[in-house]
Amino acid sequence: MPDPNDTLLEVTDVSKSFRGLRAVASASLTVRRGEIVALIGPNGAGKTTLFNLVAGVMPPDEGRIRFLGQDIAGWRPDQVCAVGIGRTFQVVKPFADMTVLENVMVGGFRGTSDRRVARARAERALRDLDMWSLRDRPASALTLPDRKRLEVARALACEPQLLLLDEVMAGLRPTETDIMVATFRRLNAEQGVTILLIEHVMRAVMALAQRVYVLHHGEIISSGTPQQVTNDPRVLESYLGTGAVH
Amino acid sequence: MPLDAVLNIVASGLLTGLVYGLMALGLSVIYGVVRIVNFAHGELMATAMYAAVFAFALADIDPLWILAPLAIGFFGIGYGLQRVLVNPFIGRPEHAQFILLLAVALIIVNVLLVAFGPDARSVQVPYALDSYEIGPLLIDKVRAICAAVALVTCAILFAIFRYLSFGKAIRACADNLLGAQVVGLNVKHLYALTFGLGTACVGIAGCLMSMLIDVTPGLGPAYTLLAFVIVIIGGLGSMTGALAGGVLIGVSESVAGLLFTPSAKGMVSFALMILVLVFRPQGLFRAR
Amino acid sequence: MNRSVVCLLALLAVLLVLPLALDRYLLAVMILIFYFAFVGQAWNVMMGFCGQLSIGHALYVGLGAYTAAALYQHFGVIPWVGMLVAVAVCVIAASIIGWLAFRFGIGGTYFALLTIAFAEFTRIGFEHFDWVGGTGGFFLKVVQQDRFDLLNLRGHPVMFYYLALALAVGGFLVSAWLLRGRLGYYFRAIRDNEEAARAAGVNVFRYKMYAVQISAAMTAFAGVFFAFYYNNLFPEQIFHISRSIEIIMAPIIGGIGTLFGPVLGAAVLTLVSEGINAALEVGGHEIPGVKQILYGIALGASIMFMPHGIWPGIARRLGFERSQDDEDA
Repeated sequence: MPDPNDTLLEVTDVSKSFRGLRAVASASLTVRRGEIVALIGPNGAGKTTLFNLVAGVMPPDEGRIRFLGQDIAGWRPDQVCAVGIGRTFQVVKPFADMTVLENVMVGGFRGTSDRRVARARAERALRDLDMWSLRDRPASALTLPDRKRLEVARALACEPQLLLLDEVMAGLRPTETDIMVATFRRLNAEQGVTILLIEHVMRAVMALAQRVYVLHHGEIISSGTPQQVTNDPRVLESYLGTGAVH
Repeated sequence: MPLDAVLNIVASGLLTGLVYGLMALGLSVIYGVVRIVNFAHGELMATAMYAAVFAFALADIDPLWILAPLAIGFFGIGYGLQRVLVNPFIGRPEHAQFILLLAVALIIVNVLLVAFGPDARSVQVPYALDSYEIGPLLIDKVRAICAAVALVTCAILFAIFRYLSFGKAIRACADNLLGAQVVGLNVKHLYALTFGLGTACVGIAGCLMSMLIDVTPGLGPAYTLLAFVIVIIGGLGSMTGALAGGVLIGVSESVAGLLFTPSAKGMVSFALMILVLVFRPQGLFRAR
Repeated sequence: MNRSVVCLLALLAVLLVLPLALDRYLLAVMILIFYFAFVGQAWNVMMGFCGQLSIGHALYVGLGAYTAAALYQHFGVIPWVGMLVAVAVCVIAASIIGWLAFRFGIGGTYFALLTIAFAEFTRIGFEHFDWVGGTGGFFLKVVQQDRFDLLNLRGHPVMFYYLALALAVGGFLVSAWLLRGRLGYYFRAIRDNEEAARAAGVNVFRYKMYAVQISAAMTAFAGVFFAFYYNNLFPEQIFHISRSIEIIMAPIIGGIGTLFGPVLGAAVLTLVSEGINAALEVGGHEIPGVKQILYGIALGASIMFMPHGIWPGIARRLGFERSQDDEDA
């Protein structure tokens, strides 16, 4: 049960521009421990940029990013991982010349140089994602849905407190999507993994998210429960264009 | 040291530097577009130098006369090299491309060694000892002509990229590969054209250089390195940078030859490169 | 016990008793094989494991060689101590190069070029470095060769055989140990995908530095061996880019990134090279450059048609699977 007083991630008035183009404009959001929060919005809205700002890929131009009370804006990605945030990439990035198990063990070595610890973490993550039987397969030989699960397993092996999932359902068939949704619900319910996800697949958003933020042209234009947000005329306008809503 | 002598040395270095700049320009163009580190660049230059030497030894032909056929020939070599050897490697990891061109370089250098022997060769045109007097300066006629040709070639190259349609198409590939493909540009062909242009530059530069220094096979690797040093100093992908870097190196080498032992000249370019990498790694002419 | 371990131990046993059956020439050939196997493995740590291409490894061989040789010849320092100094010198050099190249995360191109440039720079520098002989060369006192002076590394070729073998075995063990631990996993992650490595908690700059430093440190030992085995050092030779290319050929042909690839590559390359030498001599011509052309063709063909080297294919046929992680509990 999410504790309203236990804020994991607090993004305040964050902005980022690229050569004059404003990708993220004064965006704010919070994620509390144990929640599953979704970030949605039309293409080009700035969702992945916002993720990248939190994950340390680039520093924000303005604003604050606090995790567990610590200011992490401008930190390197590996420092962000060390403090407890794991992330996946929209375009999957497996370590192609390593096996599935080795891939996940890279994550498992976070904060330790003991191989057995890394292996144990990797095993746990792979079992959580029902991939243990694939452990010796080279990552380059995996199908797309399996690669997506590998990304998640690798991030999980870091034992993060917050998991950032970037369009993890993209390209999956409905049955595969349902399996992923079920997995995340289980991780959230049983292990208390907090999740912030970017998603286009509304089916997943509605099934998973307790709260939703909507990003449009870099600005947060709406937030609330999935039901509230999908009925918000501003949100419908942003997806369908003005004039579509009366 | 009298001012006159120093000025002469600087001027001499400047002129040689323009030829260096042309050589580096060829490399910069290739890297800027095709994103391949052409490790055989200097070896191609050495080949051009030997071609000039050969023509001269055979029939006393002034290298200036074979500039055009050499440029065309090298354009063809570059085009072919890209199409046949390099193209399959475009998607492959960087180190694979590097090693492939390294192998090509190795083969070229040693073919030259086997064909021409290790002894130095040179081209002594009849006007090799003439010079122009401009105020206090005494400028070698040969050097001045070479520098002028180098400048003209650079200008032609600039013009191609600015005004000609295929030049603009090449720039499009460099700026936005996916966009260029979407718009329907034949990227393979354009890459090969670029390689051809860059290699033609190097062919011309080599032909000119044969009149300025003695040719040995070992120059190949040395020039590859020099070209890269110049391009790094000037800024990868910047055409003006390549030229300016070339001049800077030319002058520095001359001055260093004056201040230190001539054999230590080679260290100057490296020292400069290290300085640039420490203080301004994007190069002198490139915004970060 | 694992099948591959058994085979390796058998091979080692053979190599230990081999000197009894070899004449001086073959002894020298084997030493060459071990040398290139070792130095190839050192390079492999940086390139095969971590993906950082160095074409200037001759720098570390040269620095290691000159450091130990100078300390011995000018100050009487025994090579076992000189070795440690050599390692320090090489690590410092590697750190400088790494820092310059990796600071801003600029691509592998810069790094490769820097390695070449530093090697060249050092070569020219040493040509003017008269304290260690300059262009004329630096010579170690050669003593009678029928003693086994292990302390000063002077003696019979058989002694050098076992030293070289120890190096090759040591290199293998170090590589294997690296692969199993965090260093190996982080190196390979960096090689395969830097961005993903960062997201998984890898401090890419720091680990790249480790890779180049370890590789340089290992190569330093090869340099010390070189100095005391050949007893003469010339800057033009030892720092030359041809040496660097020789170093990388064995791992590339044998198999970058594998454990046994560099070893196999060294064996194949040395034997083929000696074969070519013999053939050229029979033909009556010792044309300088022909061998290098063949090297170039071999390198080009290798990277074009067998980019993973010859070992992976052979390993699969022989049934040696990569099983680093299923070995343990």
